[in-house]
Amino acid sequence: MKRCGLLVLWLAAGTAFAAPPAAAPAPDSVFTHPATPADLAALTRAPAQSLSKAQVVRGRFVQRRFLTGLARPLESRGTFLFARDVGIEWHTEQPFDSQFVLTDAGITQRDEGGVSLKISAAEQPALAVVARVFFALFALDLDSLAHDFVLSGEDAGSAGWKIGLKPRAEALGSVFRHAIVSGAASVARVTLVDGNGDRSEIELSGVVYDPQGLSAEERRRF
Amino acid sequence: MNPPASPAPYTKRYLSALTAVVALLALFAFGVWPRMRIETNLLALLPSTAENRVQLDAVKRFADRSSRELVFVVGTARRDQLRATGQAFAESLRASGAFARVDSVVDDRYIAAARADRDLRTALLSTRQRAQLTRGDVAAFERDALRAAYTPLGFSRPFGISDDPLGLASEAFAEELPGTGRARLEGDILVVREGQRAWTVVRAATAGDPYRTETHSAVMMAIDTARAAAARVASDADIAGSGVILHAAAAAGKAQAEVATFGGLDLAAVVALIVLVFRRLRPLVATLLTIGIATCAAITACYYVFGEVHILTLTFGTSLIGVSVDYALHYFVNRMPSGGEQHPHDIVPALILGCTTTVAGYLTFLIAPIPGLRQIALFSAVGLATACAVVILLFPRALETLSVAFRRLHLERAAPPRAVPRWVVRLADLRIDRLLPRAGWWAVITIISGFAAFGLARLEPRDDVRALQRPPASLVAAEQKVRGLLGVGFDTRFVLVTAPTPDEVLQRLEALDPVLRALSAAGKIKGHLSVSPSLVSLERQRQDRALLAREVYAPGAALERVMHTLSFDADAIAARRAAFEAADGRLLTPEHWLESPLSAPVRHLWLGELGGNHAAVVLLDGNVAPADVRSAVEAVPGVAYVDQVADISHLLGEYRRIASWLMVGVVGVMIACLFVFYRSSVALRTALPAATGLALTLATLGMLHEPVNLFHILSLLLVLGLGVDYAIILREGRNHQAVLAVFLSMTTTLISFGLLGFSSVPFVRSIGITVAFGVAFTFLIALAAKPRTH
Repeated sequence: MKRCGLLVLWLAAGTAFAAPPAAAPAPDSVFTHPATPADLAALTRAPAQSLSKAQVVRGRFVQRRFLTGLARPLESRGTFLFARDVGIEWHTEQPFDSQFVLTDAGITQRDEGGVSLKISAAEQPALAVVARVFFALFALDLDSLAHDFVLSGEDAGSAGWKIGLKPRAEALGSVFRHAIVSGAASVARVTLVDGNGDRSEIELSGVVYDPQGLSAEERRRF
Repeated sequence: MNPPASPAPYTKRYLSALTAVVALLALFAFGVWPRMRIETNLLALLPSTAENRVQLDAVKRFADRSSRELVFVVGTARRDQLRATGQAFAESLRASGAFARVDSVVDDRYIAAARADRDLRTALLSTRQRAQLTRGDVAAFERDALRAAYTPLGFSRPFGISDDPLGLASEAFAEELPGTGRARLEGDILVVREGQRAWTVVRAATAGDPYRTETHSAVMMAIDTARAAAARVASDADIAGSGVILHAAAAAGKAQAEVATFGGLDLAAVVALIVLVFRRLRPLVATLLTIGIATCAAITACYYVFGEVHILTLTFGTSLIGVSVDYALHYFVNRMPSGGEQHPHDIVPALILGCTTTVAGYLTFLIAPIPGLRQIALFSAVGLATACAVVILLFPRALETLSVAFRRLHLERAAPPRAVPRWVVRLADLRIDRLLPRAGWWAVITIISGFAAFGLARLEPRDDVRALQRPPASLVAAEQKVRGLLGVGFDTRFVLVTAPTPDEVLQRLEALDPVLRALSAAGKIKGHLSVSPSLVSLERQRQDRALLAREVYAPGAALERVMHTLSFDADAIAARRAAFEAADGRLLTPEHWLESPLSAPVRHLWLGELGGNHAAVVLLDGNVAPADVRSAVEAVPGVAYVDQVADISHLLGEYRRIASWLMVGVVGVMIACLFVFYRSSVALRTALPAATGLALTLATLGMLHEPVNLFHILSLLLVLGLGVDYAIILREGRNHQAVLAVFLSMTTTLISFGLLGFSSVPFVRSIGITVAFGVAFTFLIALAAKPRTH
């Protein structure tokens, strides 16, 4: 009389539209250099080593979103905070003030001081994927990324290095069609092409690797 | 000393009885046996607690749908081998052909289906956005849309910003897909991490009927092979599974083994006993033939009355061997010479009386509306009546035919029946009251009374559905493992929503939704699973479309403002509005939804038409406050809270009380009847063994810490039937033969029910131990209280 087999586990996921978006960039040369996580660890030695010691990474970002049908990209800027084993805070300051906090448990968005949106990862699995991939990208957790993406890497000489990521599964394709992470001493630029073919470029600056961990004030934000 | 001088005549009665037996055997061999279906579904045994026909059908249909589903977790400490291990397991399951579906990787079928249905989905709204628009908080609605365009939130949207600038389609889509609990999508597999180990999820549905033994063996073999395949990839592969079919297979397998073991041992014991006591071939063959005919009659009756024979009826039915053998044994014992009496006397009245009391004992099983018990009662009653009829109608004549045949084959010499063995004579002549002085007897009686009082005081009732079935510990552990890892576990309690039309079912589900959300917010449930909001009532779709037309798509409204702020041009805005208008009148219907992959996760919850009504089921996760949940959900019209486990336990308790009073009543009536019959203290002496036997049996159960349920009480009624029989035979029969007949009867019953006491099925075990103790006590007391002869 036990009825237990009803654990429903389905996923919100999908691939992109068939038609390529107008703003799609030409395939990057980085994708012609497949690489293993170990290769890439050697390639990105500087940030990987800094990151391995860092508990917290702080910095500023400028994000440009190139959308189908828009002549100019949507540009936003602000600060970010990556805390190992805690989560990411993405604080947009321009064009409006909004805090986006991402932890393993889910997403919280705060606007004008109040919580405007709270979604648990268990409720919306697609968000959990975004959360995890974001983590892994900023932490350059190459082993974790290798589960989800086919990795490739390129030594850009004095300009640093470039890592390409392509999702292994159709399921992840709805979130990222592909991504390129580049940098030298630190992660400097992340380019994401999402499932709809819309491209986003995130430039990071003033990146500080902090071995100390979060301050009490910062901890409260998560 | 001699067999009857003249052969018994071929009377008309004998010939018609013989014809009936031949007809029965022919019917069994050609009509029943080839077509007989052995039911292994334990649900078929359970009483119906449904309040009405629709609810009953709904519970059945839902159980049928969900009993095919299986969930496995495949784990290894080597994360890099996890995908390969899970795929090896899934691939092996697929290759077996025992499964209609095996899902081990996540693909894009849902979003693809949502995109294909875009024109049918323009009226769909998430709960959050509907609330914003309904209360006129368009500012918050617009702010969220703009935020998504600039913040990482936008990355999780399945529909692009240009295509769905307000996130209407994305939010509605995200809301309708059930969560994954603790499992996370990594690559294309679902992964749960637990310490050093990572687990992936494999779901499957069986191809065959989950209650057919062929399906069981195919599925269990496929799982074993798949385990081996997984172990070849990762030597530490660990697999836990959960599913109704695993329970069904385990229960059926055990029951089959028990039928074989108990039946075999029982037969062996009966054969040994007959050989020991009679030392002749004829009684053995005649007795076995009687058992065979009785069994065929019992199975045939069950087949025609119930349309099938349940595996547990067969388990229990093995006791028929030990009980139906009584009449034949009684017959042969009666023909044994002993002491001065040599001529058998007429035992027909005693046989009929004995059969009647025993059959009456079984018929008390019918008072409880438990189909399994009824089948057992019918099986036993028909079997016993047949055995009794065979002995009365066929024996003298048929035995002579057997004798002639045996002598021709030189299997039997013309020997008179063996005399009553000496040990029986000693047992019968034992003056038990002279073994001890009078004071000693009072001491024995005091000790026994003390034991009875102590045991009875410790007696406690427990009316638990687990009395009917208890799954093996390993299965329960595996199930808990799966639940614990996935963090989702729907139990047997659910909510049933019925209404005259499909759309009204959906409207009621929509009315129920806020109630369930409030229960979740209050921590009374963890979550729920429903077809709503994946399927939305047409009524709500029309309302939402009107709301969207007014608040979002109207000139100068939210769509225009948001797209304008994001710097889309007028053409882009016009295109979105045109798409909305073009879809006017196109709504998502249940028919379309059922065909779509999007309904797959919850399709089994949509029960469809049921006797003029339509119904759907809502499952509850982490239901910790059942009473509050029941009262909250039942406040919504057309909604019923179904808790079969509690209802069945309650029912078992109710019938335990009824059966207890019945037992007291039967003892009273029995004593009254005996008084009328004997008109003296002999009546008490005859009733004493059975009544004392019952008390001692109950006391023993108390001493053994065996909680008492309906099945123990019903067994006591059976003991009463047997016990009175013993006392009557001892009183009415000739001394030595009577003692031997009762002794044999008690022994075979004790063996049969004692074996049932080892059954893995709790209620069969309860009946087994109760009857075994009961007949043993009753026999001993009957012997002690036996009237002094000579």
